[in-house]
Amino acid sequence: MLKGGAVMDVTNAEQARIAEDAGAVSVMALERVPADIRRDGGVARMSSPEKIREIIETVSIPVMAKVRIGHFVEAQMLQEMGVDFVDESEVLTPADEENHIDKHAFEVPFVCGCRNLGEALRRIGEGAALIRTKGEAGSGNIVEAVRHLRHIGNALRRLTILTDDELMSAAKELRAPYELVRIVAREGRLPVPNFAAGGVATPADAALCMQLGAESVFVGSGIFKSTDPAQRAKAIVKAVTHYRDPAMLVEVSMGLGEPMRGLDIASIPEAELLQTRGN
Amino acid sequence: MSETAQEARIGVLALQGGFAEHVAMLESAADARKDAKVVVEEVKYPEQLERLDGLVIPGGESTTLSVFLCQNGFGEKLRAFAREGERRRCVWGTCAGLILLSDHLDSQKQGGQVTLGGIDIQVTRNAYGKQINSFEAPLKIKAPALFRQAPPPGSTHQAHDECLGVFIRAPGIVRVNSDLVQTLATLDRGSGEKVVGVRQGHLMATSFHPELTSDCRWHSYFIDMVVTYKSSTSL
Repeated sequence: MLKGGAVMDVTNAEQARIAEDAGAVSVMALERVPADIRRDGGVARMSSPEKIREIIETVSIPVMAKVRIGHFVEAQMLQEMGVDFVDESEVLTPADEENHIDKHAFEVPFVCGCRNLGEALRRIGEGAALIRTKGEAGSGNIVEAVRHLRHIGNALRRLTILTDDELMSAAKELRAPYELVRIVAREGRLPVPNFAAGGVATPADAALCMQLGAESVFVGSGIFKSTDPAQRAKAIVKAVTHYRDPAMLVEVSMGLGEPMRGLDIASIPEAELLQTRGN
Repeated sequence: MSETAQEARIGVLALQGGFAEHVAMLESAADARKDAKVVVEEVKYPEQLERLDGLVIPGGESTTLSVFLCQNGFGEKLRAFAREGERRRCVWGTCAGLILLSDHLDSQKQGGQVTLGGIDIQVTRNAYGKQINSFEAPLKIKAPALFRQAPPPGSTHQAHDECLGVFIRAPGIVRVNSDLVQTLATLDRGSGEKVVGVRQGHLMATSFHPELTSDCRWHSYFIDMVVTYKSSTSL
C-alpha cells in the first residue's frame, strides 16, 4: 500500500518524525544519505542495528533499510529486526559482483533498482516484490531516473506488439526470464509496482516521475540536504498526489528555500557512478 | 423512481494508496449492471464530494491520509459527507479506510490522527504485524446478499459463501460494540472467528482488499448499497 506516496531517507529519529508528519508513506533508515556516502567514499554497508531499531521505534509507518547487493546475511539480520522492506541497493558497496540475493528465500519483501526492463525482470525473477529506478542516487539530478523510467516504459510498449513466437528472442535480448517476458508482454506492465528513485530534489521532479509512469517516489538526499527539509517533505508528498495539477505544483513549490545543490552527471567519473553496480 | 436515481456517481479517494485497483474494479462491476449507470471518479479535492453518491476509501498509509485530511477542511467535509445531512451517501473503507470509519482506535501514533467514525467498532492498527505478516486466507461471507452472486470463474473457493481475503499490514477489529453493526465476513486461522468485514447502515468497512483479487462481488454489493440509498432518498 505504498503507491501514490513518497518514501524518504532518514538518518535519525528526528528526521523520521519530520518525514512521518509530512505524510511520507515510509522511511528508509540509513546512517548517511546517498550524497554523503558519495562524498565520503570508503565502503558503505548496512546501517547499525541500533540506528534501525531507533527509527522503527519512532514511527508507525513502514520502515525500510538497505543491504549491499548480494549480502544475504545483512538481509537475514534486517528480517530478524522486523523491517518492513529490504532495499538491495547499489547505493551501498556491492558484496557480490556476480549474484544478487535469492530473495525468494526470505519472508520480508525486497525492493531492487534497475535501469531498464531486462534488469527489472532479472530482479523480479530473483524474487523482488517492488522495483524502483536506480537513477543516479545522491546526485540531485533527475536526468538518470528519467532515462530509466523512459527505457522501461518504452521497452514495455514494444514487448506488447510482438507475436508469441518472437518472445524467446525478446527474452534473449533482454537477458530476462522467458516466463516473465511472456507475462509482461501480455499485460503491458511489470508484475510488481515500479517506483522512481535517484535524484529527486523538487516537487516538480516528483511529479515528472509520476507522469512518466512511476507509482511512487523515493526521495533520498533531496529532502534533508535542502535548506528547509520539513517544508520540502510536505511539498513533495503533495506533488506526488497532485502530480497532474500544475496549479497545485506551483503552490506547493513556493517558499521552499533552496534544494540540494546536486551534481552534473558528466562531472561524475565513470568509476564513481552508482547505477552501474549490480546488473 | 425518478430518472436521476438510475445514475450513480461513486468516487474513490485518490490521495494515496491502492485507489487505482478500486477504480478498475468498480468500473468492471458497473459494466456488468443493466439496472443502473454508474460513473466512477478519482477524488483528490474536497469539492468533488458534493456530487458523489458513494465513496470508497482505499488502503494506504493512514498517517499519510490524515495529513491530507487535516488540510483545507477535507476531514470535516468528509465527515459531513459520511455522517450528516438528509442525503445518505454510502462510504466503504478498506484497510486504512476501516481505521478511519471506526469509532474507536487503539495504538495511535504520537500526535494522533484524523478519524471519521460512524461504525461502532474498536480497531487496532497492524493487528497481524508488519509487512512480513501479510497473507491471504479464505473468508466466510455472512451477508446473504453477497453470496447470492456467483464467485468468479476459476476461483479456488467453491462455496458461494466464501471469498479470498488479501491482508496487507491489516488492521484488526478488536470489538463490535453495537447491534447496529452487521458482520459481513469473518476469518478463522485456527484461533476462532474474527470479524473482518462490517456494515452499519450506509457505512461499510473491510480490513482486507477485494480490489486485489479478481472477485467483483464486494464492489457489486457496494454499488447495490449506493443505488438503493440513492433511490430511497430521492423519492
